[in-house]
Amino acid sequence: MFDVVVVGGGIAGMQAAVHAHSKGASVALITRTNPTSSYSITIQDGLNAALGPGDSPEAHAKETIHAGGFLADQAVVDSVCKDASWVVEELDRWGVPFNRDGAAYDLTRLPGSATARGLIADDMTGHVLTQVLYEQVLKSGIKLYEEFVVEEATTEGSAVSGVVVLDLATGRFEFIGAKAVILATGGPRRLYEPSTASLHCSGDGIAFAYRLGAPLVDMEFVQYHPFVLKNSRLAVSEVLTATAERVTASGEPITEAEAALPRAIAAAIAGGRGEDGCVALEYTFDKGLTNRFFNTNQRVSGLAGLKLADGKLPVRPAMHRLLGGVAVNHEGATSIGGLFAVGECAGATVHGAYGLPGNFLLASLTTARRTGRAAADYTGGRPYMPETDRMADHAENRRLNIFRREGGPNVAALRKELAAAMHQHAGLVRDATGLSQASQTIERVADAYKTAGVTSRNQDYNFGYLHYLELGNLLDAAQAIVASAAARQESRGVHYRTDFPTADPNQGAQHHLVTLTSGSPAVTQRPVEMSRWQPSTN
Amino acid sequence: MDVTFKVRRHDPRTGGKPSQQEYSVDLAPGATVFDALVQIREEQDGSLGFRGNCGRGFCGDCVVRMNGKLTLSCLTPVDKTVKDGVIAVEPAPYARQTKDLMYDDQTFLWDKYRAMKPWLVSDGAPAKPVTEEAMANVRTMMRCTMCGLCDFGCTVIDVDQGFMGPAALTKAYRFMIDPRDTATKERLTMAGEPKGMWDCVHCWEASEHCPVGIDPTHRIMDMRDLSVRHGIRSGKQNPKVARHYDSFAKSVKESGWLDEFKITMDTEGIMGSLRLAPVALKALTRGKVAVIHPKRSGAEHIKRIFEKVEAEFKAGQK
Repeated sequence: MFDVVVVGGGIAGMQAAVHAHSKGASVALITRTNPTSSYSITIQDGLNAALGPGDSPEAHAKETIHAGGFLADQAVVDSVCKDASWVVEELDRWGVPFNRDGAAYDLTRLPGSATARGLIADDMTGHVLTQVLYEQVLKSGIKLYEEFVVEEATTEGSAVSGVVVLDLATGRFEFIGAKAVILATGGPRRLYEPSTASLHCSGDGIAFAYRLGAPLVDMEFVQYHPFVLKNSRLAVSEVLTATAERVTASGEPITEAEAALPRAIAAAIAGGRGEDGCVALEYTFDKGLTNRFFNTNQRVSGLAGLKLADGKLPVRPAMHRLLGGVAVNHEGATSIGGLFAVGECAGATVHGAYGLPGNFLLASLTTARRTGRAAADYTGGRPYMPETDRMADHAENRRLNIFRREGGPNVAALRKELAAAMHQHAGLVRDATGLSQASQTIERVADAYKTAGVTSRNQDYNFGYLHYLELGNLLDAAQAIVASAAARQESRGVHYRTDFPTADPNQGAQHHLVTLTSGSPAVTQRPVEMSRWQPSTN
Repeated sequence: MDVTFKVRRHDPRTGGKPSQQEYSVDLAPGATVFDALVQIREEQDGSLGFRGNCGRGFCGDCVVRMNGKLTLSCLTPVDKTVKDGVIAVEPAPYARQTKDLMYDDQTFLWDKYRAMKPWLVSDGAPAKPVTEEAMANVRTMMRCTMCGLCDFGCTVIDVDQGFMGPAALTKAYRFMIDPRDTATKERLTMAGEPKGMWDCVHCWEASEHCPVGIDPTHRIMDMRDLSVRHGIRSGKQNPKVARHYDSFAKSVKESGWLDEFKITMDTEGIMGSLRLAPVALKALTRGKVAVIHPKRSGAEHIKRIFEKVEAEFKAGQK
């Protein structure tokens, strides 16, 4: 029994856990891998904070809202940009060695921004932040469940009661009671191929909340990274591409920017202008900055046998982030009592229709800080739900049934089919026909999933069963993404429809909410909060 | 590309004996060994045990031995490793195997890491000015992914699993060089306990194994220097190191020689030295040590160097 259980040990999850603990809550953190091995460690852009001379949180908020096609909720963006200085001060105090210029922070102008406001720790900002947050988790004495998989979040009446977990090492199920559950599972990257996914990016929290009836928001906005190294999942660091980059296909430059850039690169490759399915990313490599790009150089050499100093890399776009997620209020609360969400699985409506490099870490850290504290407050004076093993027994029986299946469809093949369809029809370029084809594929895969078996019936470390669970969660996210994309009959940010290629101001004033209703996704609308800037006034 | 993987399987929980299993996989161009293992587990055998998540060198969980080479499988391309269509995959050495290619990483790595008080300790004001130069050094240390390769290469861990090891010691050093941390003395004392930094034999294996250029052997030497500079010549439970250290310096300063017998007597005492007699006899018969050390010509110069350095050191400490 804990006051707060955090599901997922990435940057957002650890930040929420540390802050819930700082408010006196008993906290457990459940992670599928080592806490220093989450997807977060691969983040290589930076952390935006308006700390430079002449910069202000207001200027930062304005740029964020413009970049996001006016679909971000403006009061939320405002508080995220304002909280940046708090978060940075705290991280520094905890030991993050941000790059400095003398004694002041060395701010990098990241792509898409007119201002230098990216704090970096060389090309490994995510890795360094993860380590420092893990150190704080250890210092706090937060209870860690490592290599535990959450199978479901549970409710009792209208409020959350805990989570059912699977101990990967032993194969045992367990129910962990909690007054509050914070979902911090990351996004469903493995729903797309190619993508920048780590092995376990299945965005489970989105599926947990969706199945409990909580609405998801902005699910149609799926952002691709323009520069992902050939044959790999490595997104080339924005810290590198910030320095005079040029993209060429067959020697011809591609000049589109931001949300339109991945689409333009994909079009060039599809039009036969690429080489081995890639375009050339050209940049000026400053040898004085060799140390800054140590990790990138080592990865590029290990993965592709190339040298960073050559100034040219073969790249192609790959799915990178889901901008939407579980709809939450200003304090990370979902529509279900005691259920909170942070990080990429949360629809905090900070990014709108396009997320700027450097804003993802900022949004995660600021909202998780707020949410961790709010969740601790929520638990104050609340009684624990009665302890029950009913849910663990249920999970055990379910697994038994799946283990009994013989010769069903292969989970990996199903995921591949799904990921290919999502990339083709619900990726960079969409239209009504394609989205309906994606829907059909999802239905077919979901049907096959009902009879799919696993290749091993072992109890301990059965990763096959884990992948089975992940596919189930990916299917729920897929449904919501496609329903939301079909309903948005306009183009905005990363959502591009060939049958509706322009922006529609009326639709642009509304978020889409997707709620599971009688087994199907139902789309409703919620007005975008535009208290400060209107699209017409710029 | 069709490749056969011969993977060492072992599930100690079920009491089975280690065996080898063959899997053939058709791989996409550019696939790494990690990609191949993932493909095997997802498509053919969900029970295959190995760790690894990011697939791009950051999580440090996927270290295995591939056709003899021990390193991160995610940065090891199949086409550069395969021999006659085969890659043999075995678990990393020393650590207790838990399943197939997985080992007990908690005991082998993380317990030692957690024992290092691995978080910044500050009494409010930074100990030294926070400069880019200092931060750059900290960042180099923080490249560490805890992949464990330095500990897998360590010749001391080979004979003593209790040795703190280069991974944990490097973590301690990361805080010692951070100008914002104010617990350097406490950390040096901790790292100077028995089975700590003074047990390192500087064989350089850690530095050769480290994939991110941290050079842990060098860092352990730096840590010893730092310790001496702080007047800490050993941990509280580890007085032998300080005696050895003093006797070593005294021997060279006074005679210009390293008098092994005197140093042993000073460090170990009479009983301890008797215990080591067989070692001494062996060393004598092989001509590794001498019984008599006549005063060396030029010894007075050595003494003067000592006195000069000692004076400078004292002045520097003030």
